[in-house]
This record gives sequence, C-alpha cells and structure tokens, in this order.
Amino acid sequence: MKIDDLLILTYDQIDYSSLPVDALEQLALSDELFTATSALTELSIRNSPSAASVAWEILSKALGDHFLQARALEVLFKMNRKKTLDFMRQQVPEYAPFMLNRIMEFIMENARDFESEPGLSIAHLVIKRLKELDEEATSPKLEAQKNFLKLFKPEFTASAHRLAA
Amino acid sequence: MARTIPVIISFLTRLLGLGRSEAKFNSTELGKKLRLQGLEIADIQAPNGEIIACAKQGSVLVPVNKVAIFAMGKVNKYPEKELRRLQDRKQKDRKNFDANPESERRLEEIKILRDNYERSQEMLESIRKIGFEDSVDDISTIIEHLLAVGERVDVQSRVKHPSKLDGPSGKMKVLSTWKFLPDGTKYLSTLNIIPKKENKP
Repeated sequence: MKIDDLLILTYDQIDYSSLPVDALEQLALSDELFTATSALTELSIRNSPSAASVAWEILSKALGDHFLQARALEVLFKMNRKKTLDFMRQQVPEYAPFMLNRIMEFIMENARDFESEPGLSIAHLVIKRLKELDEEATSPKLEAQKNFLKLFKPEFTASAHRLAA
Repeated sequence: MARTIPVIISFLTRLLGLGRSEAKFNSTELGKKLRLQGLEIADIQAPNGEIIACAKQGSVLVPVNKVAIFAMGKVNKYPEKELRRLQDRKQKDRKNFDANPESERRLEEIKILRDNYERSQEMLESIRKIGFEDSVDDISTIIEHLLAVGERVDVQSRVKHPSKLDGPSGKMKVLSTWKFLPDGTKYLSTLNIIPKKENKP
C-alpha cells in the first residue's frame, strides 16, 4: 500500500511490522499524529538507524504535538545518547509541565544513565525547573515529581557523585 | 495521483450489492442517531479491505471514528500497571531487564498505547473547554463543521487546513488534512485539535 492509502486508515488498522523502513519514516513524519507515534516506535523497535534521524527531525523542527516529541526524545536517547543529552540541556529550562513530567519518568526509568555525569546535570536542571514551576501558582502537580526528587534530590546525588568519583 | 491505488467508494459497493458493512454501521446506535441528525452515512473500503464508515455530504467524506472515537477520548486505555511494572524493573533491575529484549519491546508497545490514549483524552479535554461533550449531538456538530471545511478546501489548501470550531462556550482551532480520491472526492485523512497552549511543549 502507498502512504496516501495508509493515511486513509486509522492508526490501529495499520500493520506496522509489515511495512518497509521508508514507509515508516514517512508515516512517522506525517501530520496524522496517532499513526506517527506508532510508526516512530516501530522504527525504534527495529533498531533502525532511521529511528534516530526521524526522531531528530521531529525534535529539531518541533513537529507534531508534545506526545510525539516526548516519544522522539526517548527514541533518540536509545540511538544517540550524547545528542539527546545536549538537546535536553538546552530544552529542560523551558519545558512546560507535560514535558517535564515525561522527562522525569524517562530519567527514572533510565536512572543508571543519569546517576553520574553528563546525565546527572540534566537531572539537576529538571529539579531547578520544577522549583520554577512550583513558584508559578498555576502549575499543576506533577505526578512523577515525588519519586523523582527521592531519586535525584541534591543531597542524594551529591553523595552518589562522591562515591562515583 | 496516477500512482495512487484507487479507493473503492461506497457507491461502488452499493452498486455491486456489497453494502452489508454500511448497513451494519447504520444499525449501530451511533449510526442510527447520526442519521437522525440528518447526516448521510456511507462506507468506503480501503485498499487493504478495511471498511470505514464516513459521514458524506456532496463530494466530501469524514470518517466517523476520527471524531467519535479519537477526538472523543474513546481510544482504549493502556495497561497502566504493566507499564509501571516494566518501568520499575528497568529502573531497579536493569541487567535482567536488558537480558530479555522482549521486555524493551513490550515497554515501547505499551508507550504507543499510552500516548495515543492520552492524546485522545487531551482532544476531548479541548473539546470540553469550548462547551461540547462526547454526545451524539456534539459529534454530529463537529462532523458537520468538518464537512463544511471539506467543501472549501482545494488541492492547494488541503494540508493542515485551519478552521475555527464554535462551541457553546468558546472557539477551538482545528487543523484538518484532506486526501483527494481519484474520483475527486475529498476525504478527511487527519484531524488535529489544537489544545490551549502551555508555554512550550
């Protein structure tokens, strides 16, 4: 099936595992966001090098919505950690609650990669951003916040850092 | 367009006496109610054989599920407990988690379900903010809006076509993308509802 024909279908009617990489790339960059999320993840599941380039295109051009961008960040991290950490370092100070929540979940899931530098400083940027959002009375309570702070509060990470050194 | 595999429109299935699936949707509660609202419901058959129920007005088709399921928060919930369990294992027992590639695969699959469920919930939230509910009346109103948008779009303006949907208590921005079928029918392929903006994503 051609891409145009696939886009007639809803995301749950498409068999992504049967599609070639170039079709998945096009779907992941399409404006049908339900389908794009599924296609990007299929590229990631296959460990295709395309997953990194498509994820980077989504992030660098801020394509799609925050769900797709959060997914792209995770996919890029799996394929290219340095690029992801550099991107996070730039973006975290401005993230809104949704992305911050996803980032906290993601860092906790990959805690091993954030317990020492260069990941640790990103965790600290998240904590700084949490404090800024806390000061904005309108900020919603972030569900992942409590567990994140338990793992990455400065006193814990400082001692972990000393031990690592 | 020449390379596009033609989609068989419901008119053909009707002509060929293959309209059973249309009758099936029309007999559902939603199908009956949408027809009572004055909407014509037709089916199209995608090249892979999937039947898609659409609201039809002139040469414009709006797939009902894009509105009634995806925009109305009706995407199935993801297995939340399984997601938490896998994330917890990955965090606390990484060596064993990594030893079984199936665990990461399953984790990614559930994240698709989570993202699409939450996106659908967010669309409903945006719809509620302008005073609509996931009722047949409001589904019908949104579909009628999209049918009117479809009449206006042309080949140049078919991608991410912006429109404003008026609700009882506000307005909402909608971006729709349309596919021109080989017979000139305009088919709504993508519906994005723009939520009220946070500062950044």
